[in-house]
Amino acid sequence: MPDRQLSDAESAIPGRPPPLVRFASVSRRFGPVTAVDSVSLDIARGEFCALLGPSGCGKTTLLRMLAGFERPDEGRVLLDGEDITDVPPHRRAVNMMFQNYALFPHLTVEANVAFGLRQENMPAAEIRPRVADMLASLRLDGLEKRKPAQLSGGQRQRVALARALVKRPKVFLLDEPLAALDKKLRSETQFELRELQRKLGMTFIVVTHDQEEAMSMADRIAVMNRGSIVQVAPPRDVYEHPISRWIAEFIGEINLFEGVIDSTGPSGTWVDTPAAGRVHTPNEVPARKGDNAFVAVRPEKVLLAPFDSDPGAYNSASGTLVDVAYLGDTSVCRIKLDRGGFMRATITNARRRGGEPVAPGAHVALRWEPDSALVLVR
Amino acid sequence: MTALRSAKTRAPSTLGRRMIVLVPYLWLCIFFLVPFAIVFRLSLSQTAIAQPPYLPVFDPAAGWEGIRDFFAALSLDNYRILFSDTLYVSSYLKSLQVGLLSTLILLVVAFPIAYGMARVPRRLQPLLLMAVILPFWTAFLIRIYAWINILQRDGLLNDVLQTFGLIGEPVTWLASDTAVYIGIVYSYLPFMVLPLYAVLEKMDESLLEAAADLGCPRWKAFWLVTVPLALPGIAAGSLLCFIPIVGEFVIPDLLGSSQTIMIGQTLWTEFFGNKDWPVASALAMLLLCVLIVPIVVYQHMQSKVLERGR
Repeated sequence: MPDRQLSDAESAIPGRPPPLVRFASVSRRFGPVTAVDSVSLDIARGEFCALLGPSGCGKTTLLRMLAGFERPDEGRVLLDGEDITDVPPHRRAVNMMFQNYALFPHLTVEANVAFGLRQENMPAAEIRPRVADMLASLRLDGLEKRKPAQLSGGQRQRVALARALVKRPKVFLLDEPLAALDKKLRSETQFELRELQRKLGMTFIVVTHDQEEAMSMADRIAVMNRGSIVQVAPPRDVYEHPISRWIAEFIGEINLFEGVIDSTGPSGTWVDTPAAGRVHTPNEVPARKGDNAFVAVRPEKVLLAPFDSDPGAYNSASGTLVDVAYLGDTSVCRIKLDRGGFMRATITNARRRGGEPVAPGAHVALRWEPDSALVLVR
Repeated sequence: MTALRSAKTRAPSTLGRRMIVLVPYLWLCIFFLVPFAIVFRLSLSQTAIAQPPYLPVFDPAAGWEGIRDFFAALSLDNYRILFSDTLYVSSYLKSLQVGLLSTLILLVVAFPIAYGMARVPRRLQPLLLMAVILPFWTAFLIRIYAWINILQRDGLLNDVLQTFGLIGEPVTWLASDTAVYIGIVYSYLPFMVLPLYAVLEKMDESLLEAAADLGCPRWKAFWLVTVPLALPGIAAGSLLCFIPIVGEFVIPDLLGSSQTIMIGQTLWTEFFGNKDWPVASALAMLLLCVLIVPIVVYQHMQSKVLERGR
């Protein structure tokens, strides 16, 4: 693999701008643990990219390699075409927002935000208006003289944003930017961050373990597991077309049925499953007849129908409704399948009155479009 | 509202509770205020060849007359003596100089030690803390005598230096200011290391990363982030060292020369040598006044830190 690094032939594809950030087969080991295992990733200028994965998957280590706090054991890190692998953090044109914000407790809000500009030896007359602008645009005006200890969690987060953004970095790195906020503030801030990124046209890389956060903000999600990137795709594709069983289960809820491939080809794939019978999906998979595979279908794509209705071209299964969890906007139904196993179906509570359309204990049919199901061979 | 609250708090506060509060006050009164008053009264008296060796002596039998005579005999003469004789002034200045300079040396020596202790893996820290405290297990005097052994002409230090060819002739270390500084820095090092360690250990390392991220080189981050955050520890350690060093007697007496005399030694001579209790008391009072200044400054700083934290 080492000869793959710096294969500039890829970036020289005519007509495509070179990536702003390139991780070229980077690895980082901590003792016996390989935190990042030969990861390659390109991030375009102006992109909002999320590194998503469970804790310990190496996403933060990858981010810290770009910031300069970790040196890759193998591979190179490129920024704007320049190899920055050996450039110390204080000379990199990237800025990071730390998970705990790392605001300087002995400095005022104003001095915290001005800190980075002072390091550039910028004259005070120039720093002052830039800091004031930054503070105003993040609704922090009036708090200039406060110390971090005198701020609320949301204000502290905005000071951390301001402190990094005032430097106008080429890439802005956010390490779990919303983890310390409460739920309501978090969802508001998601949209604010997205808006901020569009307005500034800056490249953002966010590390998160929260899929909702990644999906609501990012243009592209790099899903990581055990030190490797397992899929890089826009949020919709990651959710609708996960390329492995692990990703399908990691992102959102999903029903999985074990089965055996009967046939696969351009016209689609047929899988025999003990629990859901013969399932048809329109996608072709890299497998042969007799291979083991999983059929995956999201709960919101499963329809509940009367037991004796005609399935038509839909895939179908039947079972008994065990319980219904009312969540307000939706209800989650758990169905015990007649042929063994359980399945979940989400129904939208579109009407205000009338109670549940089906009561627990009812015998129901489950239907889903061929297009809604996925066959996963990995 | 206030009445209500005080009534509420007073309700369960019985006699026993007040007695508990009384204990520290009683302690302070008996072991600080009363001795302080005695020393103050002595500093206003005159020396005499008598038992006790000072005048006036308060005679309760003489009644009102006696009290009046007693107060009439008190005077500030001893303080005048202190300021008119250069011996006293110079020993004060010498003490302040030794106090300031050795506190500074202690800071420079202790900071890297404390910093290193705070940065090693957590499981090693108790071991290092132990190593800092360990010398206390040997009597202070013995450790100072050990230094005499090390510093004397045919002592360990000269032996080592000669073995490595760094010096030709043995150097006279003992009975010099250098020996006093070595002794003081050695003895007070734990008092500087521990408060510094306490603040540095609490410091969030991501602050230094944040500084680097914002374009600040490491050496500069030390001055812009580490030192300001360590300030409470620097202040506590400096006071903890400076105050007792100024009044230090044993170390300069055993390691220093007879040319440079610190205030502790002057006090000793006045009290035990000249048997002049009043002058010794006046010296002690003046020393207290000098030392109160940094304590007040520190108190002021502390209350500001507390306010900021709120």
